[in-house]
Amino acid sequence: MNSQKENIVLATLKGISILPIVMLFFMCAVKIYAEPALDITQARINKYHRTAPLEKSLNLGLGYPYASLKYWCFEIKAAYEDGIRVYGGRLYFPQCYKTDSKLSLYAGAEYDLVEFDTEEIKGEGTVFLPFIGGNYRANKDISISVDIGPGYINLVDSEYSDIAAEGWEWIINIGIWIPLSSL
Amino acid sequence: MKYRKIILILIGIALYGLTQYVDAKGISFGVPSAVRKKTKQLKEKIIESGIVIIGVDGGIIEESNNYKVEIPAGALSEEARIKVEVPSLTNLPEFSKVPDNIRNIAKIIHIDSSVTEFNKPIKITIYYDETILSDNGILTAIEEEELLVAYTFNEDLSDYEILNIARVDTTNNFVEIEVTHFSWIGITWTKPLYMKIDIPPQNGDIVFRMTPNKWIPGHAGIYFCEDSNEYVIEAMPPKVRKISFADFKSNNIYMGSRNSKQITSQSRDEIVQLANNLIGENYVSTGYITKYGFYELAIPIASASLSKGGNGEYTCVGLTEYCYESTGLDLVDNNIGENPYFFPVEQYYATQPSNEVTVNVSETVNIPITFIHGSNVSSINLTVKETDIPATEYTLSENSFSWTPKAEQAGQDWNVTFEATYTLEVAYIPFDRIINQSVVISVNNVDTTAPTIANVSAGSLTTSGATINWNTNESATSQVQYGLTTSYGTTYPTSDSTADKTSHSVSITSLSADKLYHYRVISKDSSGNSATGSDGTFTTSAVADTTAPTISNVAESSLTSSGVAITWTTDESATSQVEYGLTTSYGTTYPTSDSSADKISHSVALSGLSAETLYHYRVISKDSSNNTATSSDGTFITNTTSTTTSRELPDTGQTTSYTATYGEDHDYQSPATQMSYTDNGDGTVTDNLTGLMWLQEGNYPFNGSSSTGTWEQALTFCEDFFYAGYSDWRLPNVKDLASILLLELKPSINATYFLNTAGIYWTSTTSPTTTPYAMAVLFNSGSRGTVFRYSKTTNTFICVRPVRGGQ
Repeated sequence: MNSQKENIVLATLKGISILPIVMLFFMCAVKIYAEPALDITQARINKYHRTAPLEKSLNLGLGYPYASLKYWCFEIKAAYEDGIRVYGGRLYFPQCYKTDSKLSLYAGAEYDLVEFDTEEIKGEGTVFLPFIGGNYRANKDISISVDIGPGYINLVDSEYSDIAAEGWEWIINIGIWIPLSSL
Repeated sequence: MKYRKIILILIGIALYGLTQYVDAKGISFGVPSAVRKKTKQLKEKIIESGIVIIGVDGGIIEESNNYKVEIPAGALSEEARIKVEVPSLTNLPEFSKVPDNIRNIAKIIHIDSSVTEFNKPIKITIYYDETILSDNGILTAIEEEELLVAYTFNEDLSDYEILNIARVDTTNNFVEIEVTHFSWIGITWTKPLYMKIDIPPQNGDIVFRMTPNKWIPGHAGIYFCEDSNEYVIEAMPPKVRKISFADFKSNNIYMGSRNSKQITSQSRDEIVQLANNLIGENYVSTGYITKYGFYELAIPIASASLSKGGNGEYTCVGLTEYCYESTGLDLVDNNIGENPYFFPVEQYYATQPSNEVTVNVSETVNIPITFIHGSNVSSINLTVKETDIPATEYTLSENSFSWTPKAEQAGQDWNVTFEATYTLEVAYIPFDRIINQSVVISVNNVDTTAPTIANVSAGSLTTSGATINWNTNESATSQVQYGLTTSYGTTYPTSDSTADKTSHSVSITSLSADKLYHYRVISKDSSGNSATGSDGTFTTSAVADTTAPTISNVAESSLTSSGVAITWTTDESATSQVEYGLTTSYGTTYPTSDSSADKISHSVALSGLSAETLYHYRVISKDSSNNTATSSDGTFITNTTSTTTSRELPDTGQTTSYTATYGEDHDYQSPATQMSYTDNGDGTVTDNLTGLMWLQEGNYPFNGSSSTGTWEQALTFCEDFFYAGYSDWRLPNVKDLASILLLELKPSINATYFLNTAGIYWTSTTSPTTTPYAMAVLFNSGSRGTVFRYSKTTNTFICVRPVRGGQ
């Protein structure tokens, strides 16, 4: 089991090491298409604040197949699918938001811990997922978001051997945000 | 607003289509989906690693020609992941503890499992490579598979130990083992102990060894046993050739053969000669000398074209006997390669120890157990193990002892004294270092072997008894069964004797004479093992004939003047003989030799007798048993001769013939027919008419100095009388003596020729009327001469005048 934890830590370090590069990429992309955040007027914010990505209010996120709680640029989430449990969190980068319209773009990174008991094997692992996506504010209370990114997954068999499987997987997340105050 | 909802619906549909699209492109929709894909990859990797997931229903894990692990249903309480691997040599645990005497003949397998203990034994089949044994220059596998041993690493002990092999299939070359937990398992051929029993080394014993490494592809050393324990290398050939087992047998060259083969002096000489020739060649000494005097020499580098690792050419010349030494082999593939992991230099005997030693009562038996270079022998235990007898029935001077030999003690013997008869079984466990070598002496005194009967014979045969003699190879009882048939019927003695003889003699009596008897002998040893001899026969003697024939009906017939026929009968077949003579002394036997004993009516014709003579005779008959019967004395008088020229009466002097019949005295008046004598001048007188020669002296002393004596004295005298150069004198019969009687004179004899004639003279003729009397002739008395009978015992007034001739 020691070696299993070592593998998880090692995978985490790998993810962190590439994080600055991924962040730089997304920041450059947002800079091109988005207006500077300093131009955001208070009026616009008020118009769309309840579902704005950077609104400092508590939002409930529902996606496939996860649930999350989001406050400002921080989000915690949990996902479950037959024999697979994922617990983690997201960090959104404020500089990447374009908030003066119903459609805004965003970028961030996600880190998850994984437990699996499926396919006749058991184990644990981690997922590091940098992503880029967009948010469409349908009205004051609901916005829809879609993002995609390359997730680095590291899984280790915990049942008997120390055999591990790791690598990149393209991952798309889709969900809605609903302010808790509107519920 | 109306269109806004439609737009949202369209967006939703588009998103769903997007999800399907991205999924088709290998993009995961959500993190769990991506994780699922990765778990499939992880499972594939696990399977590729050899791990097999076995459920409670059991399963089989196998690799063709290497191993097969069969897990029966119920062996697992839960699903388990089991991995069977063939590890590299360096991965062996506690590598330094791997016994250096193992010779792996199969892949070592390491079985690991998520479950450590099983509810049922797991059968593991490991296939071995027979050619490793037969081609590696060590031994042939043909005879060695019984020595295969499975070993495993005991993690608790942190050492190697032996696993019991459930079955060895020498046809398909696999070994089956049953275990309840997994570990490292290897199959090895084991060499026997570094010892031999009851085969002490002798001067001249030759052994060989092979120690390949990268410099020495393989060589054979020739060692010479200088004394009981020391071995010194003589030389080694530069090349040794690998020889198949078939060659060993066909060419009488043994390399590592376990068959003990006696080296002939010739072969030994050849080996020594070869060794001597090779001494001084360009060997490069490694400078390594073992403590037992072994030198290891490297062959010249130029000769290293031989492939390394024992795969090169080997030439084994005259290598043999029961000693050999192993090659250095690694644990996995038996190819020593560049870095030999094991480099055994031990030498050992291949011959298994003698497995039986017999100890007799009160006998001290020396059980020689000689260790040959036993540096690896950790200990030896001798244990006396009684099997079928309670300990109270025997005494052992030591019933258990052990000895931990040091290298310097190699060759020591043990003396064991037992107070009973036991068979000692010596076994050994050929796996040193892992467990202690031990010699177990099993005691077994149950004698189930019957005595062996030999040299059966029947002797001392009589009409009613015989003596049967035989030998047994151990002390046993003596009994004989006998009878007139092979059913025997009589046993003697009736009860068993003491089982204390190896030479047996039984006399049987009360048998019938002249009968064929069957007999067989029976002997039991002290353990009751009975042996019965084969059927024999003897015939008793017949009853002896000691009764002489009975003679009867003795009679004379066909009496003539010179012969007679004597006839008689006997009551059984017998011979026919007659003794006859003028006296009862007889003197003549006719026929002179026995006839065949085949007549009961006998007739013997006698001839050549004197006419008018009284003869005594008796008949003799012998039966076939030489029993002789003799009749009483009989007599007969031969008839008068019918010759007309003979003179019947003394001359009467008549000169007138009164009848016309010839023969009257008148007819004999011619001078030629008148009595006349011739004085021979030597004291004898010859009657010119009869031819008889008479002693001239009439008063001859025949009874000592006396001239008178009995009739018997007269007979004896005349028979022994030697006079005038003649020895055939005799006592005249009555007719002889009467022929010189002249009745007209007194004395009535011609005194001119016959001197000193006394009164009466003996004749040899017995009185025909009474045998105590003999006939006598009176020549000189007051009256005229006459013939009369006279008592034979009378010894006075009667003389003798011997005569010869006639008859």
